[in-house]
Amino acid sequence: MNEQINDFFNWLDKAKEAVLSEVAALASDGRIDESNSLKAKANVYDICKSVTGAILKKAPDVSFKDAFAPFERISAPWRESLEAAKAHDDVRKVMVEEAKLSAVTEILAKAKELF
Amino acid sequence: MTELEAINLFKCLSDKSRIQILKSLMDEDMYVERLSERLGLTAATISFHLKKLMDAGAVTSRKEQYYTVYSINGDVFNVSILDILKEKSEEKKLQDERDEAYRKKVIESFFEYGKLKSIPSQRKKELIVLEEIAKAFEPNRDYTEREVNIIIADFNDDFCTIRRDMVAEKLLTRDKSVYRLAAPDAK
Repeated sequence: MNEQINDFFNWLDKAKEAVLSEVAALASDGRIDESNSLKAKANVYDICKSVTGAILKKAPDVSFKDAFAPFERISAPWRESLEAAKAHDDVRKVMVEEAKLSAVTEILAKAKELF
Repeated sequence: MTELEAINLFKCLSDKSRIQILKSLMDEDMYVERLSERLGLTAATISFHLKKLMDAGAVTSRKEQYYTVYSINGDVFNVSILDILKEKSEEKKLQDERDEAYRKKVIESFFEYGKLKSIPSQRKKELIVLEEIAKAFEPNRDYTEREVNIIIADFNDDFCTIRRDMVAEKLLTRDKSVYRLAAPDAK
């Protein structure tokens, strides 16, 4: 179990690094707005690691599912935020929320694969 | 195009994705999904860039059945950069306002009830005073030296100095003994 958790956290770090590389690549390619919106995506991996890690540190015997649940709760309002942004034609927010939710989708898929 | 509009347009254009969108729209009018497929960007990203392009006036849109179709705004891109640079800038306008305020202050200091109290020693201030006196002359009319002296004497008794200085500053022209108000761009 611990090994799986370590794998998951390592994957989160690598995924974040990959997004940050993309952020830098977009910026150097003269796509600053897209680069900035992708920074929000990179933060999602950190949020997942911090929230899940804090629970596992506090209660090492808790199941991964229970430790992971708060992250799922935190990310749920982002979907509502995306819908609200679409309804109000807030194109910048739609772009940012979609980037954040794409990280959530990747994280959920990885968690499902490992646990 | 105002200076502010030009700045917004240039800022908007300083993005590779937006340039790619404009290049696509040069080929043909397109809707979001078509641009998304063509440029490999998400529909949300394309919509974001199109909004920026529309705000800058670079792109226009129209409804066609279920789609919003976007077109390049040729009028904006047909303006030459030289034309934009020739536009009077807001900073220039502010400078003109400051100059006018200074001018008014000098006139209030040196004139009292329409009479020139003294001739300013500073050239810049004297020029303002002389320009104010020059308003008493009619354009495209010949004046004898006596007529010039009488007009200037209404402002100040030292009409000889003022008359000579007005000629030196090219506010009045003198051809033999005939004086004329100089054309505004003669200075």
